[in-house]
Amino acid sequence: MVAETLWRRVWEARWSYVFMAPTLVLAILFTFYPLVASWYISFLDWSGLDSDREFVGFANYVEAVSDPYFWNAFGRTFAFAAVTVPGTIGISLVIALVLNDQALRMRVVFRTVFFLPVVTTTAIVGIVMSLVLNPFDGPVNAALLYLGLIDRPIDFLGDPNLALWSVAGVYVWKWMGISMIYWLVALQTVPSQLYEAAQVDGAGRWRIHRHITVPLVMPFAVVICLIGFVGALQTFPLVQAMTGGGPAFSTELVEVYIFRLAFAAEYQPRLGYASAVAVFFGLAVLVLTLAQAWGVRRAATSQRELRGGRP
Amino acid sequence: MTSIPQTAIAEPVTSLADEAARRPPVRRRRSYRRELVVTVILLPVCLLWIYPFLWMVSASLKTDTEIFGSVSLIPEEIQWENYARAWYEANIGPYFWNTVIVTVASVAIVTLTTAMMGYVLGRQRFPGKRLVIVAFVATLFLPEGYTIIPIFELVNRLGLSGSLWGIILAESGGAHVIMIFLFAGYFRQLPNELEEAARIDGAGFVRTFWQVMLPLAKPAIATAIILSLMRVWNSFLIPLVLTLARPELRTLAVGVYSFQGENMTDWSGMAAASTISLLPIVAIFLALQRYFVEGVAGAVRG
Amino acid sequence: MDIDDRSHALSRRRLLALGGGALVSTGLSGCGGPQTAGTRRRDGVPDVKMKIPDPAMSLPSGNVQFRLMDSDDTKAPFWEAFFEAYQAKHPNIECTYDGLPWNRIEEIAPLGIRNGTAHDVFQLPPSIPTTQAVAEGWIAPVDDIIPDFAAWKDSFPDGTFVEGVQVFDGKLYSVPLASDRRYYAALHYNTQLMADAGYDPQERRLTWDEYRDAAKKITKNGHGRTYGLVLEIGQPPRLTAIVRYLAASAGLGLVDDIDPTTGEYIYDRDEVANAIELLVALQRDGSVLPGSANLTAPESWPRVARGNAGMVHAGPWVTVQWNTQEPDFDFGVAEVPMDGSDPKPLGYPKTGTDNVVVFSKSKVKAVAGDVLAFVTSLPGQTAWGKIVGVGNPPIIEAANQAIEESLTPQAKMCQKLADTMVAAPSFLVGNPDIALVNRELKPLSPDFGEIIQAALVGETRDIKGALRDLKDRAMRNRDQAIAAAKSKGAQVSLDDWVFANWDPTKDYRPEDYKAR
Repeated sequence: MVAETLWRRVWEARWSYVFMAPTLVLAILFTFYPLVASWYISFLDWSGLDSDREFVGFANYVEAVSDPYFWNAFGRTFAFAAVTVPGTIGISLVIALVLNDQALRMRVVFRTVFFLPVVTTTAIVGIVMSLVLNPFDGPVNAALLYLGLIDRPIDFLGDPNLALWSVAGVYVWKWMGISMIYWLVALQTVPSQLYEAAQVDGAGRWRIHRHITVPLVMPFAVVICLIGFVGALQTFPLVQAMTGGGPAFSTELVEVYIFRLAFAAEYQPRLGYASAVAVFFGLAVLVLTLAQAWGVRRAATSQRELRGGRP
Repeated sequence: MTSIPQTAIAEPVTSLADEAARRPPVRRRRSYRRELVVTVILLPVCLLWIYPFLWMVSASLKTDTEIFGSVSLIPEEIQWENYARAWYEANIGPYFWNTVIVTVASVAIVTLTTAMMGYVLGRQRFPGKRLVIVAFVATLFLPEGYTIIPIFELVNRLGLSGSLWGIILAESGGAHVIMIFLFAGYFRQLPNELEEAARIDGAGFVRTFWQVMLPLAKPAIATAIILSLMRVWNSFLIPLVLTLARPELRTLAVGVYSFQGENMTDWSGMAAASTISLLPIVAIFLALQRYFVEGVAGAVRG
Repeated sequence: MDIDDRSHALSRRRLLALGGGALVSTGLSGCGGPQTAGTRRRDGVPDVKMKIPDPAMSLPSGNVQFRLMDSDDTKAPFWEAFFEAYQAKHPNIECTYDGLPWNRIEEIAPLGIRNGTAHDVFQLPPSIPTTQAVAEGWIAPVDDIIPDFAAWKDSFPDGTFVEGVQVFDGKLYSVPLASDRRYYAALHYNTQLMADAGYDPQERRLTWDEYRDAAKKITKNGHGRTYGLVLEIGQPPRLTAIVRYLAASAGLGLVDDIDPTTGEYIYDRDEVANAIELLVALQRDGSVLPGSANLTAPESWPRVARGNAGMVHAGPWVTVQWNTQEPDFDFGVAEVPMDGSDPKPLGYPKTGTDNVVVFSKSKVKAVAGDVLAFVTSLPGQTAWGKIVGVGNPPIIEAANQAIEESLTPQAKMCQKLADTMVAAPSFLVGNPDIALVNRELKPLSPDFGEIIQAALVGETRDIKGALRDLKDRAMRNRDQAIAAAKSKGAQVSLDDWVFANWDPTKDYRPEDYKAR
């Protein structure tokens, strides 16, 4: 009986399955299968090219845990995220607040300009930016010297103490637009009547933002932060194009390290180990993301409870 | 990632324009002064923001010596031959058309299939729905190793290596979770009456989707197009790996690097090639960006 | 580890493109066959007409494709001219040439081998040792596809073909197209700037002190627009080449990173530390072009031609490049500066470079044989020499003499510097089983180049300590590799790296191997 009902429900929904079929087939072939295959590879001692593959169990994972280069890259990656995520979120919130003003006639132009870097090819942007930041003849140093802000050129990408933060700056520039759009969407949810009421009460612009806008869009912050955080871990094309992980490993983030292992030049590449490092890193990110989501959500909930059910 | 806290204030989707029209003109005069101040501050910021692109376009019109010798954005003498060199000698021309073919086909496939999937997930009930949703959401979180080798072997086994079809399929073949939920969210918040009216008119499942629902989803479609366009146009590793044996099938993102030879670096030619490869996507973005915010907004609220 | 000669050749060659590692900062170069005459301005490349002889073996009569891939450098113009002539002779054979930087070959070759679409003839990347390619059946012997094989083989200089390098079980798998008798770190300098600084390296070899002083003076005279030296700090393998040359100029005898008289690694030797200290001192003087920290070698050379820097250390391929592309640029080529009174010459491997292999699944092996036979013949090598020049000098000695008169003064200097080099002993010739040890060697992190880089960007202050540590790690690494190779049946011991009768100033000859 149960089987019969189920069959009838399936038959009634037959068009739903037909509609899903193309996506499902493509996803199984090009997403699920490679994903599972890459897990399997992480248990192999395999260069990725020859027939010499040996199943080594968790040996690659054990090696990753005791690999100082991995942990250095790991630390750098999170330092990078710790700087770029708040930077991106903060700047984009300010810009979104400014651009959310309907009376601003050029807001679409501004919005487009701020979003423009997002659509461009990261690798090409990386090359262009490394030329722009060049200490010898790049325009940024030329401008700073001309304005008298510095008296000798800054080697933005060549100084090991500075290179990571220069890349971080470019990263914020490149991806700020995405967060800005999210904030704009969030700001649209604030009923305009609230603003009008506040303005009638004679509240100043910043007070309105502080007491009305920001608390109301805070729930969105959880998601925007999470998306920003996950994005800040995926920096391979930009770093590779700008510094290739150098100088002296100072910008070697985890993704760059994994690439170095998988396509290690002079020696045998180590696809198995590279996969294991990638999976291990992915797990670490997953755990941290969930923890972060839980924490932020909890904070938001308690905040809302404190406010006691405002509209 | 796009499902959003229920705490978001429930309000029907409105476009920016509607909202502006509805809002009464409060204290107009102060607005003018404010607008002037904001504009005057933002204009130079915007110029700085797109300076790297201005620099790139300027470099594409200079000689190599001038790129490094002069800070001015205006070339002493415009070097159009950088573009000719990029287009003809470095094969950017054929690469350009390859990229157009791959991008148009992949974007069409992805947009259509994810719209269909999103429609089903957003508006239909069927056994196994929860399982499908969980599986797709899981791909966002499951850590992956190096997937390029399995993809490469799969395309080989399908007999598609060395053809544009291989690239198109591989580019179309991701799980595209974000886009599916974008469509699902967008379709979910459309009123039920539309479907009922269509059914009363005698429209079947396919016609309802094709003639009634899909045309209403323009902002979501525009957003999906922009998102997949950005990805496919800029994609590097897949086209590189799949066109190894057929250099004439390379795409722009792969071909642009051809300007940097091993011994010599043709910076002006590379700037020209970069400009050629960035222009179309910037142009399409400018054309579609009007819908973009609405599309994201619809998805986030759904 | 650059122990066997082949990887020595390749690893030096890959200095050009790798190390900086940036996928994009090197990148693809011209490709797409004769119909796409390359990606760059070919002004100044001599127009050499090649006459393709009738094939000695029967070639396919139907329409076929022939594809060849190598690391380009200055070789692309040769292949383009050759394939144009070859296609004119054989209209049914469509030829494609892909000249790619090494890091791209690293990615492409393995994948092409895997799905059977590799080029018919290509250069193996350093990550695929020839041993492995032979063992896996990826490449085919050329004994049967090259016409009149025995006579052809004899036309190469003695000592070119070595079991374990290109020959396996008596069959030849890898064909050298050029000689590796090249001076990799010659001082290339702007004549005018050098004269203004008060030095003339043509008249007398500079000392390290003079070199440092010249860099300082050029920087001072440049007023922020010109610096003394540009250094490719972004490409650690290139730094190792420069340091090796400087260390040898201070009197250290070495073959790759090993002192053959003791068989030990040279990293802890004073000459090495002093050479690095010299470069660090130049950096501290402010004589190095700002931004060098991210430059790869190909990005650094144009800086001298453009007048941003007065000097650069570079191989003969840069001479060729400047001669053809910047005919008005007045530059000089000289030996690296020396320290003390007893500079040692550098060694070169006799096994040649630019080795190409034939893909085992190639459908047009006969064409591959015909092409290789012509390119290594005297007419082919002469055309090669005239077009490619001293950057990749012909391996057939007669061809080198034939092109002598067409050389520029700077190119002649490159030849002269190459002539100062001596044939180095090959550890592999001494014991072919060393190939098995090399396969077991694990990457060192940080390696020699990375340590030099860290010193130059100010990350490492205790250079000597880092070098001592490197030597310990390298020795231990080799011990472990020997043990692993032995457990797999290799007959090898530490003594195989010791050549007690080696004199760094003389050619090491075949009879010396027996006498050691």
